[in-house]
Amino acid sequence: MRTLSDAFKKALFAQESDEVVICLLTVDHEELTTPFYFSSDNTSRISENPLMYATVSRGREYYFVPFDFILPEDKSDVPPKIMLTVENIDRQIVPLLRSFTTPPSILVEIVLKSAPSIVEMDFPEMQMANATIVDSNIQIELVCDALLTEPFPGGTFTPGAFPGLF
Amino acid sequence: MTDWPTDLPQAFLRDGFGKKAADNIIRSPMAVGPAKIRRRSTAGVGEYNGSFRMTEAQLQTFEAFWVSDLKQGSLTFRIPAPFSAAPGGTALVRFKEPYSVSPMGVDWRVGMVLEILP
Repeated sequence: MRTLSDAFKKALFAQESDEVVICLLTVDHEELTTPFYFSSDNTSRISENPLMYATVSRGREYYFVPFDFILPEDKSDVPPKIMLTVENIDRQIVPLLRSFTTPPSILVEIVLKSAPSIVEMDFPEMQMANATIVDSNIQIELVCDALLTEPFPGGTFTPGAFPGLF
Repeated sequence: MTDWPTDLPQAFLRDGFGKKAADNIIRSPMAVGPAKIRRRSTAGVGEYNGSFRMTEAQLQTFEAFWVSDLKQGSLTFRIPAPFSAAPGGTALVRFKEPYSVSPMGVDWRVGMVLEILP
């Protein structure tokens, strides 16, 4: 069972709340020298020219990129899947996405604006499985290693492989 | 950071001025009872809608500022903030749409809609 902080539970159950739920992404890939850090909230302005916002969590700046996120369902028989929708993309994102030959790994963490260094929820490092460009946004599907779809056992006795048995 | 030129009017005309606060809440209607509300993000984008009275020379200065310094209104700049509690307070803004010019006696009324950036 997931353990949430008292502040998060209080914000969830309140009729009105000034708490902001922030999604932090850490994007890593073997071809990247350093990971990319992104945040869904414009917590504080770090630069005026160029205009940039970021969320500081655990001493690191997560740069603001406007995106929506849908967390995975809590079902035991379904692999977790997270949907990200990035808005107002420009032409630089599409070539970047198409340049990957292997999927990047993405760590998803949920924090609150009042305590950005306390991770309320985190999801195991997921992989980008699919990216769909629709109008002016791009929808990214993150999945875990689909171990549930792996066949078990790895080998089977079939007439083709073991004709002497049949 | 680009600042509003000092030789241009430093305050909006009171007539027709409006300020709109940022819409920054998520409202979830419930089946019964009042809706649940929470804040969408840390800071939202507000709006100034107003006009300046400019002479011919000031209008030319403004248009050069808009084209050269703001790259036809695509960049942010600082403007003296209306209702600023601190003297000399400024607001970081950018044009939401192109400005408009109309005659006002011997001078010109320059109307603009500005986004107030957090």
